[in-house]
Amino acid sequence: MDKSKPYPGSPVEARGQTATGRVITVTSGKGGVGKTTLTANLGVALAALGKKVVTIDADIGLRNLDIIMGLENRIVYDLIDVIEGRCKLRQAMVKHKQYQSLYLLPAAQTRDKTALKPVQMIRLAEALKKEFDFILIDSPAGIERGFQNAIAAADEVLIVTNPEISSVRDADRVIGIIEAKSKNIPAHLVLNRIKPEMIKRGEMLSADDVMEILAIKIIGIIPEDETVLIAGNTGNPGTAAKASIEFNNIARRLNGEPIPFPSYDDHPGFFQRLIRMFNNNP
Amino acid sequence: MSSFMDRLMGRKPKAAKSAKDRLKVVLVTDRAHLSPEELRSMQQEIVQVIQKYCRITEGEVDLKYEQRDRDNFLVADIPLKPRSDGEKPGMLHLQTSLTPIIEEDTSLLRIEYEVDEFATREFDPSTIQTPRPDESSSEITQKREVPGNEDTRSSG
Ligand SMILES: Nc1ncnc2c1ncn2[C@@H]1O[C@H](COP(=O)(O)OP(=O)(O)OP(=O)(O)O)[C@@H](O)[C@H]1O
Ligand SMILES: [Mg+2]
Repeated sequence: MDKSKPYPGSPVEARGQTATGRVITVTSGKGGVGKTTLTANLGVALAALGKKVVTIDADIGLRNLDIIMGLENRIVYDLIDVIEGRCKLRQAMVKHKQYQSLYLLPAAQTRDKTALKPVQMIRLAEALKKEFDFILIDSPAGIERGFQNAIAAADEVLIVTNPEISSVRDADRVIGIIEAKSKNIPAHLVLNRIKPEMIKRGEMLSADDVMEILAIKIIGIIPEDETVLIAGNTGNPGTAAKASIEFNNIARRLNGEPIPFPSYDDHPGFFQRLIRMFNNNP
Repeated sequence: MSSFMDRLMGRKPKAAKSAKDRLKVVLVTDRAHLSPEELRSMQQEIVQVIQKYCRITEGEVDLKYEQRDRDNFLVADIPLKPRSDGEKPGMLHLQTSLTPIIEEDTSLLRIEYEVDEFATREFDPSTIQTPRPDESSSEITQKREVPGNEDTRSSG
C-alpha cells in the first residue's frame, strides 16, 4: 500500500501530508438497528460543529446512506468507480446540500461486496484522512466480507444496538471479532431506540443492563423517536425531534466534550455511573 | 398483579430481567466458542477430576459463572472433607477462564486452582495431569498459596 500517494482531486483543500482524520466505522452485527441513521445524523451533527466530514456507504449492493442523507439524485459515480479507476475521488464525492463541509461517498448499487477488498478501503481511508476530520463508514449488517471491508480501516468503531436480546447478542459477537483483530481499536456503544416507559416497567433492557452485559464504554443513548423515520423519508438527517439532541451529543462526545447522559430510567446512581464509566477511560 | 407489587417493592419484573439473565448465559457459550452441551460436559469433567484427586465433600461442587470485563470465568469455592484430626478443613478455589486463548479454538483453556493452607497435606496438585480427556491440548496452571507453610502434621 502506497501511503504517500493520496487519491487525486480531493474536494477539500489538502492539509498537507499529516493524516489527522479519524476513521470511525458504524457497525452492529444485526441488521436494521440504526447504523445508517446514526451515520447520516452524525455526519450532519459533526459538520454543524464545523468539522470536515465524509460519510462512506460500505453497504455495496444495498445503497442506502444516499437516500437517508437526501443526496440520491446527485450521484454520478460511486465508491467502486473510484476503486476501479473510472473516476477521481473528487468526482464520486457528493456534497451535502446544506453543509459545505459534509460529503458522501456512495456505495455501488449494481455490484456486490466482493467488488471491494479490505486493503482498498485502507488505502481510500488513508487518502481521506489527510483532508477530513472524520471519515464515517456505514457498515452493512453481518460479519461477512462487507463488514470486514467496513472495519478494515477503522481507527474507532461505534457499535449500534437496540435494547433487545438478539441485537445485544450480535453486538457482543461483533465486539469479540473486533477485539480479536486488535485490542487497540476503541469501541463505543450506541444504544438506539430505547423506550423509557418500558424500561421503567421493567420490560426493556436499560442502558445499565446492556453496559453490564457487553462491558464496553457507551457514547450514546438514543430514544425511540418516530420523527427519525420522517427525517429519513424526507432525506433530512438532523431534523428528528428528540433523537437529534442525542445524535448531536454523540458528535460532541466524539470531539472530547464531557456531555452528560440523560437519565432514562429511575435507577439510582445510573447517571453518575455512566459519566464515571465514560470519563474514566481514555 | 405481580407487576404492581414489583413496582411497589422496587423489584424488577419479568421481561428485562429475563432478557438479561438469558443473555448472560448465552454469551458464556458464544464467547467461549463452545456449544451448551460441550460446556456442560466440560464442567462435569472438571468436577470429576476434582473429585478424583481432591478430598472434597460430595455434592458440594457449585460452579458459577463470573464475568470480569468481557471475560467469563467458571469459579468454585469447594470445601474439602473434614479432617480426621478435627482441624478446620481447607477450601479448594477453582477458576477457569472461558476465554479461548486462540480465537475460534477452545483447545487451550486456563485452569487455575489454589488450595488454602490447611489442605496442603491432603492434596498434591502435581498429581493432576489434565482436566480434560484431550490431554494434548490442555494447559493447566497451578497456583498454590502456601507461602512459608511449615505444616509438619503427620497424616493417617
Ligand atoms: N431512534 C429511532 N427511533 C425510531 N426509529 C428509528 C430510530 N433509529 C432508527 N430507526 C428506524 O429503524 C429503521 C432501520 O434503521 P437503519 O436503516 O438506520 O438501520 P441499519 O442498521 O442501517 O439497517 P441495515 O442493517 O439494513 O443497514 C429505519 O426505518 C429507521 O427510521
Ligand atoms: Mg444500513
